[in-house]
Amino acid sequence: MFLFLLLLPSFIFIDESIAQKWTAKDVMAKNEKARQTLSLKAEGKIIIDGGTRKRQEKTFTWWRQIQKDQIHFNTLTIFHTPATVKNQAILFLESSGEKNEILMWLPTFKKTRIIESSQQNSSFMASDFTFSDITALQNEDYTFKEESLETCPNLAQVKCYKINSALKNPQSAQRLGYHKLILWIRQDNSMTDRVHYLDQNNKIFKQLDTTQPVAINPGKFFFTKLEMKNLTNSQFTILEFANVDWKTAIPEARFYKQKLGKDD
Amino acid sequence: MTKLALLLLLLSPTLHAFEWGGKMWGNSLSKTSHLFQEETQHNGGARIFAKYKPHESWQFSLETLGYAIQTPLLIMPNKDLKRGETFLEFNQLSLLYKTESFRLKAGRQITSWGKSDGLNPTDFLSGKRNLLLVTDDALTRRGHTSASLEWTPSSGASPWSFEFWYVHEHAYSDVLLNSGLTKNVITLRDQELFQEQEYAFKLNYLGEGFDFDYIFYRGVNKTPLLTEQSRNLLPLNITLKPIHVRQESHGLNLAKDFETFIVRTELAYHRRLDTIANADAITNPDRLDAVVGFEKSVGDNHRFNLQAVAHHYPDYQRSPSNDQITRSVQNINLLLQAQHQETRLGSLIVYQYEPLELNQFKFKFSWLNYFHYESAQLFTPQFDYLWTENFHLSVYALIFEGSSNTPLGVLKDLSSIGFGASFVF
Repeated sequence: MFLFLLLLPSFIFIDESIAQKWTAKDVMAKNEKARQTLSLKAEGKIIIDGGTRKRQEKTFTWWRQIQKDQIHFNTLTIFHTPATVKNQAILFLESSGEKNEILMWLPTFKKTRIIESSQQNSSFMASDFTFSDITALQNEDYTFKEESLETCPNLAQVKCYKINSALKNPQSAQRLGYHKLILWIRQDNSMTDRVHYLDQNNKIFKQLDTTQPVAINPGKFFFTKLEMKNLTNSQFTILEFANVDWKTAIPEARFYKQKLGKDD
Repeated sequence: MTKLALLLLLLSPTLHAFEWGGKMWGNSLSKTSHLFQEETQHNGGARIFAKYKPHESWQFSLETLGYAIQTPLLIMPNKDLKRGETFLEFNQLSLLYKTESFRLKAGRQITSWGKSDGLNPTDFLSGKRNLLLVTDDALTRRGHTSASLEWTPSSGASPWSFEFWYVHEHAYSDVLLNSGLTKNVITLRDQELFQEQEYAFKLNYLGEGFDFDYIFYRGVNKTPLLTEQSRNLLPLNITLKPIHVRQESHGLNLAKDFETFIVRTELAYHRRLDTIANADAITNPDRLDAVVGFEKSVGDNHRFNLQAVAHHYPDYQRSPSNDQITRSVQNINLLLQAQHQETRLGSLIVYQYEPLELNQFKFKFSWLNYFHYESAQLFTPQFDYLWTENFHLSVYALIFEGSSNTPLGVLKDLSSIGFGASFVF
């Protein structure tokens, strides 16, 4: 018994040392790699509900393709329903720093509009997602700090790395609509399980939960259900994807600005 | 049952390639001077579109607009709108063929040129159904019968693109004449169409966060000149015929993202190729139009747009005429063509409030104000109630202000309040 008591501190020490082996930077590098799907097409649905507002649903087709730099993505969304947004298209071209481009095709006006870069923090089609929420997290824009290794919030049988992510450039907060993120990264597949969005007062105002992952390539995953909760007013938005096709190559021309709205 | 399933299976690729939709609307406008009295305009109709895309490269488009107008507010060529008239027009009936670099479209089609919101001096090919007195651009824009070829080098990847247009049957704008001013004195004949084919060349560059166009256009003015066909002195009656005169235009368009706001600007120089002595009010109607607009969104719901507007006639001289009736006709054209001043400066302010939720009021306020050498204004406030995603109710007003020798002021008597409902499907 005495021997056990003597050994106990060393066991605790060993357990802590195992926990300290991971670094936030490495985990996020793996996370970036795991979500780097080359290209995919899916049918999507946005369900906007909660709080005092009336439930709304929008359906769309979604194309996404990684750029030649293997970091940034191009995303095209074309809406089908409701009729008021039918054939409305949003082209999001990611770029380094603050230079992402958003172009919108408005079929009623038969015009392509450039959207102000600062509008990336505005609501994506009246949902609780912003335009920047639906883009991929760029690791180069953040400093990551280890918090803990704990049970995943959405999956009790899996451990998650809890990581604090701060923006390197404080001015990016204006574009992104938040100052800090707390991320839970799954230990088993390096994918994000939950994200907390923090304001300048370190107060959590939004929560993203991702579930129903689909393995699309070895070591690469795509979540087919994302739920964003606005913690200030109980509103939430569910983004669901079906018919995920990662095998059929998407022509690069699908994301050319010049092609936007040319089918109308 | 098996046969039906087989038929559906065979048709499924066809059905998948087909889509359709549209809008039904009804509006009632009442003059502010005679609210809810006899001078009320009713209009209503349906816009239906269909697309069939049997192959990635081919697409067939159809868009029809059927509408009825019953109004004593305006007069229209050869129509007695007091008793009501019905119209059926094709906005689109076209065939599109495209490859990676080329896009060829022929038939009835709609264009919408110009980067700015509000006034678009470079929208050379479009005509407007002004008689409808509605604020929905999709209902007022008129199509033309044309063929266009667009080429984007490098298999569509180049930021440059080139468009060539041949318009066989041009679009036109309705002449907006207040029935109160012209009652029993003027008879309007049908507009003379198909006088001239139109040609246009458009060069476009899409950069990172900006784009610009240069357009060369040779065609006709879309708001026709009124020319005298006959006159009767006792009782006084003048028969006027709207005609479209030839013009050449150069246009420049620029839109640039400055991160927190967008600048959209348009410049157009119009050179008239024909002048008609007993109709044109000025000897040289060549004109420069310019708009510079700043747009900014605040939060998710608010959008502001401020445009500076300028119109200038570099060689401005009134056409002399000793005949009183000719002078009257010239004066009508002076206002119709907005040629009453050598230079007009103004502004357009647009504010939009668009809530994200349903069961909320949406608000848009637009104020066009000419302040240099004249004081003339047009206010168009509009409230929309989003009952469901598809069903909207609206209340709107068209308020013209200014002296009667200005294009907006002359329509003062036309100021009206409208109520409407629309269903989008």
